[in-house]
Order: sequence, then structure tokens, then C-alpha cells
Amino acid sequence: MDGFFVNIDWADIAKATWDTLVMMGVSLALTVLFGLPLGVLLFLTGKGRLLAQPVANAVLSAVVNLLRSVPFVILLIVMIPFTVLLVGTSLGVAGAIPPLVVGSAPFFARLVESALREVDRGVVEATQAMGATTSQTVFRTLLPEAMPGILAAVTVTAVALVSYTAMAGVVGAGGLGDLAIRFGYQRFQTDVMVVTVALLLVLVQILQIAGDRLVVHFSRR
Amino acid sequence: MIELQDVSKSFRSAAGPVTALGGVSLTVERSEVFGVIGRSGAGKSTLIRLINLLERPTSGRVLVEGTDVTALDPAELRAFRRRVGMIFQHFGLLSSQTVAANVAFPLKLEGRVKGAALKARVGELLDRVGLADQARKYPAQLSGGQKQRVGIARALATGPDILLCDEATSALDPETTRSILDLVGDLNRELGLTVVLITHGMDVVRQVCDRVAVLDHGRLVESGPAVDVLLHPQAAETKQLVAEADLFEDVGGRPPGRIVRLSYVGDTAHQPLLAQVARDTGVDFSILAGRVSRIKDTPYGQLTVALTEGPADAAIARLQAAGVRVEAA
Repeated sequence: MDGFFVNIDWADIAKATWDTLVMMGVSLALTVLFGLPLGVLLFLTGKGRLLAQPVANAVLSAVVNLLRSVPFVILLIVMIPFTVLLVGTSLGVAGAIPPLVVGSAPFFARLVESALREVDRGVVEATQAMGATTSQTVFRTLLPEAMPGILAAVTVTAVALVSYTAMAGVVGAGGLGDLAIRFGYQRFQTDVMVVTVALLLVLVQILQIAGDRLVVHFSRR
Repeated sequence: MIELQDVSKSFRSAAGPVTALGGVSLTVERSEVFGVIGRSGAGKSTLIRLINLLERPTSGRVLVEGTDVTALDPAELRAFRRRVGMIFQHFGLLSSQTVAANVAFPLKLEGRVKGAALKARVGELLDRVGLADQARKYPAQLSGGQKQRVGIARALATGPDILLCDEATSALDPETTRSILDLVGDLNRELGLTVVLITHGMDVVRQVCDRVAVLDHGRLVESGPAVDVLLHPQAAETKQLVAEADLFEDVGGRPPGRIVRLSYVGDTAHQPLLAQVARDTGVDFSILAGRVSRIKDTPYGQLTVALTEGPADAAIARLQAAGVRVEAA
């Protein structure tokens, strides 16, 4: 065993794991914070929906598509000035979070929009017939009814963020992916590669299983 | 009282404007059960949605208790909608909430009744629809009939004066349909609820409706008391709907003699009239088709009879004198 894991500095691995968890956790929280309202707006302004606004919908949709079409590696670099303005640095964990959020919030918003589309129109109509306001319809009918779909969207986004954090190594963000590239790949330290990838795999597995459990817990159909 | 005054509704579609309703006027009296029957695409669901403004009329007025609901501002409209309960073909229940939470839902939206009072009100409503023991279940665990009962309890929660039924029994089997319509009839009688229902089923009209309107391609072709419309349909569409309901199909073939259709309603249905007339006049008859039943609470009989031997005219005169409507068939 010692012969294989010669290059491993477990303190580095622990630090990288922690960095990945922080980047992923904070970015996920902010992604949901910004992406959820964006998804709700995309849905509500859509054709035949409660706040149907063709122009607003087209603009929102275009912005979301634009952000989603920029490759994440490019987004990391393009955003550097903005990131510095926002968090004071473009490096490290803090510097990685703004591009991670900007990269994943539009993706998450689309997933939310499609989860809301799955909500039975009849339930929304019944809610209207009971004299609900638009915000009551959103918070008491649409979001609770779409909860399983939204939780599934959070899970998918969390897993996607894990792989995005690996790319954030490009701007010196740290984390497991960064370790895998710098030591495992560029220095041919296969043991580092194996350990980091194994840890990422475990992380993804935990996220997926936890997400699936939550979805089942909230599904009443 | 609900009054539709010359309402029209058209939708924009890719192929140009489509008229769902063209100049419909009708009046629903307080505390009656009013049915609107028509085929799919006739405009029924648009019509019922005009009453609580889920659809806005393109032209015309919708008056409820004298108030033009199309002129209400959003807050007034929401308050108005709480006075109008609605149940749906596919129930429209929140799948994420328990039965009790579904029934409490309109009360929570309104925000007037809270805490213990809310709980008590929900218990009372579930009791009324016979689901007191199902409060903690989720809609997916219920049968169709039970789901519609939850829908009814929810519709009644805010104490409405009007109940709109949007094909409320179309997704249910005949037996369940009967029990749901019984419940609607009871509510109409006990609470004085005005009920407007739309359906494509004559059986529904026959069981609960006081009055009925027939809709065909967005136009009102006939309306009146259910007994009149069902027994003596005038419009071609109504005749067809009645015929399709298979109420009066005869045995086929044409025996000799005069063939007449006899219709009678009310107490006449209980009297041995035909036998008496036959005995007194010496006429012979054979029954080709018939039904003796009830339209809502009115007993009726409708028989197609061949008067084969004897004084047909005298027999007809006797029948007419006893209040039977006689038509050549």
C-alpha cells in the first residue's frame, strides 16, 4: 500500500475535499437562490401562463440561452473582472463561486421551468377558481406540486457543480479536481488521480442517493 | 341568480379566430340545478368558465346577483370567486397535500378561519361528504369517487351560494356517478345551493337537473324544464342527443294500426290509465317501446303504442282528457 500511495499528502487531500465541498455547497445554495425565481419567472411569463408576457419571456429566455451556451472554461475567464469586483479576487474558492453560480443558475432555472410545466393545469385552474392571488398560486400550488421535480433538479445541478468545480482549477480555485489535474495528470502521479477521482465519485454517489431519497419522500402521486 | 347576456367568446388560433360561444343568453334561477348539455366542442366548458371568469367573454355581460362580474377589479374578483365553488372532471386536487389540507386550502387562501376553527370546519366538511376517516390520506390513495367528494368538500369550504360542476362525473363509473349526483342534489336541497353543471350525458340531466340548456356549436339551441326538453325535444340536436341516450328505442318493425307516442308526467304515472281506457273503449294495443321512470323528482312515462283494434280516436280522446300527451309516431 505504501508503495502505491507514495505521492499522497493526506492533508492536501483533506484540504482539497473541503474546498470542493465549500465551492459546491455555497454555489449550490446561491444557484437555487437565483435560479429558482428565474425559473419561476420563465414559467409564469410563458405562453398561456399566469403572467404571460411574450417580450419579457423572450428576453429572459435569450439571456438564459446565452449563458448556457458559453463553455464553462470560457465563462471562468470572461468573468474574471466581474468576479474581482464582486468578491475582491478571482482566485481560490471565493473566486470560483461567482462563475460557478453564473454558469449553473440558468441551467437550474430551465430545470425548474420544466418541473413547473409538469404541474397539472387543472390544479392551477382550481386554485384560480378558489380566488387565489398569483403569489398564492406560486407558493401554495405550483412550488409544492413541483417539489419532487425541483428536488431532482437540485440533485442534477449539485452533481454538475461537482464537475464544474474541477474546471475551476483553471483559475486556481483548488479542490479535488484541481488536485487531480495538477498532480494526477500533469505530474503523472497516478495515485493522486485515483484517490481524487474516487473521492469525487463518492461525493457524486452521496449527492445522487440523498437527492433520490428526497424526491421519493416528497412524491405523493 | 346568474344571467348570461348575449355572451360570445372567441379564441385566437393559428388558423384564425375560433368562436367557442356565439351570442348565448340564459338565466339560472336561485337554488335550482341547471344543466348545460352538448357534445365535446360545443362550448360547454367555456360557458361554465365564464361564470367565475376563468374565461373572459369577448363580448356580452355575465351578471351574478345583479353584479356584472366582468367589471370587477382583481381583488373583488377574488372575493367573488370565494362565493362560487367549482368541481372538475379531473378533480384538480393538490397531489402534494393530504385530503384534510386540500379541503382546508381555500380557507387558508382566504385567511379568515384559522387554528382550531379551521380544523373543526374541515372535519365538518369531510363528514358531510362521507370521508371523515380519510383525512390523512393523499389524493393518489383515493378512488375517483372519493377524490370528487374531496373536491366537493373543498368547493363548499368557503360557504358558496353557487356550485359549478365541470363534467364532474365524466371520469367516474355509472354507480359512482349516481352517488356523486345524489350528493350534489342533497346539497342543492339542504343548502339551497344554486348548481350549474355541464355534461355530455343525458343520464346526468335526467337525474339532477331542474332545467336544461342544449348547446350546439357554440349556440344555445333549446332550453327549458328538463321534463319538457327530454320528453319533447324540439331542436334537431336535442332530438339526437335524446335518441342517442337510448331512452326510447322501440322494438323495431311496424305492426298494423295507429302508432302513437304517449307521454305523461306527475301523478298520472301512477295510475292504471292504459288498462282502464282499453277496458272502457274496447281498444287493443301493443306496447312497442317505453320507459316509466323519473326526471329528477318528476315521475313520467313515455310509451310508443300501436292501437291495433277498436276505436282508436275514442281511446286517444280519453287519454288526452286524463292529461296524457298524444303524438303521432
